[in-house]
Amino acid sequence: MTCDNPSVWKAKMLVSCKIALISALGVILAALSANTHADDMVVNAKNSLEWNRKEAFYHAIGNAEAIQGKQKIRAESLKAFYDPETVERTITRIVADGNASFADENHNGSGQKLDYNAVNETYVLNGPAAVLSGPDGSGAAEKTIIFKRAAQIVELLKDAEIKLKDGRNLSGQEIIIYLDETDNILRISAAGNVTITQADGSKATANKADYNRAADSALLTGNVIVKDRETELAGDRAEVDFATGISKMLSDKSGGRVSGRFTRLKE
Amino acid sequence: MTEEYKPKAPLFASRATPLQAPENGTANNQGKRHLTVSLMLLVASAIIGGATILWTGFLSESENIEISLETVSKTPANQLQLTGAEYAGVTKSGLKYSIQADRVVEMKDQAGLLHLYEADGWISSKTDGMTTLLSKEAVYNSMTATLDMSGNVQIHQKKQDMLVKSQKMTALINTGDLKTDMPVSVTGPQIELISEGMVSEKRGEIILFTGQTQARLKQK
Repeated sequence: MTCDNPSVWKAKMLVSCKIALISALGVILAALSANTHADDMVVNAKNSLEWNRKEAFYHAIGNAEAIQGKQKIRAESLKAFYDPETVERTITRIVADGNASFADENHNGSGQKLDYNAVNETYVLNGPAAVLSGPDGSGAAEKTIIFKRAAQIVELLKDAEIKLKDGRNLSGQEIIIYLDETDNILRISAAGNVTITQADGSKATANKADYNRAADSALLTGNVIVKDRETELAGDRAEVDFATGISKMLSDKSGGRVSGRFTRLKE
Repeated sequence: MTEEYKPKAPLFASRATPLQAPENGTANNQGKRHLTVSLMLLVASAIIGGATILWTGFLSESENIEISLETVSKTPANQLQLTGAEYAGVTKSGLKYSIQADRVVEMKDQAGLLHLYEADGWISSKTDGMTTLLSKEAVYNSMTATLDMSGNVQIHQKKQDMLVKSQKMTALINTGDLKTDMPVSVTGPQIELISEGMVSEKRGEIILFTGQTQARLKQK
């Protein structure tokens, strides 16, 4: 179909331009609207919501949840504190009590109580049985899990254990996990009765362990014992290469001899 | 249909200390007139008390209220009726206020009850600015010192641009608080909230939204 009349052609172009312009404006407005709502925090409560203007908090009770973008906090009771000096009453802290849990883009956590500091983006999960899971696996602690979101650090305190998705487990009294920008594990530092269990069942125990994800190896120190199916190595320090499966016992003194035991287990 | 009324006591007069009726004792339906009736303030302060849901500092007792009326009459049911009633004044704490009602009827068989139709008003303070109140009807109970507002109740605080809406709202005069067991919404620049009911305490410092509640807190 042709359009020989220039004025008709111009009119059609104008209509097309207008439609395109309106569509573009619609998309822009929709995007702006979506961004605005993403900043909002929605608080739901089944039983009640108290707005205490004197002490500057909202207290939601009964299947309470606070949702902001991809971040969600749930508990029987939620208390959200805000800064009354700010125009938008900026939420600075959320205390969740009773079957507390949270979720964001890459992590889920739960515990008896949760204290979230929105200023430094830190979650404190209190046990018993506090749990945190991420892209590489999950961690549990009897007392507390501190997840420093901005700093990308997770601290598990007392009877802590992490289970990696590749089948390896690590337990200790205190475990610190360092995450990279994609929330994958970069490094793990553990102390106090540390036990590393491989997917094949071999174990290593030590007073301390430091796991390097990039090298896929760990440095174990203090009363180190490395066990596999048939052998047991004991020493002061050990380097465990998870990629090759080779464990190397080291002296704890520079230039000293390795002090350890090699035992062939009875069949 | 109404008949001429010779006031025995002003409609809003205190039950304890009734105000003096106009000396001439003639009909009062002669256009706007101004009266000084101390217990009218109870009604005014009752409505104003509603403002304390979000704003503090209002004293329910006040003096020197100015009242203007269009008519005062008696209904066939032997009820007193005012039309075009407007009450204005300043409370002891310095709050200016004005309350209007198209019609006010004293519930003859229910002592201490006043029925206000198309009631609206405002209260103003230096700290909280202007607050407006609006309801289709309101019943003031002088025995319990409560004002039951009903029908599109709206309380708006201009300074914070906060609007509270419900179909029912009870103002507790003595404490200056509000409560309702009907669905309520709160809308402001930083909050949108819906709930199944609400109770305010400490003159609005604490507001408890009851039942299923959802609040959208605008953060930016």
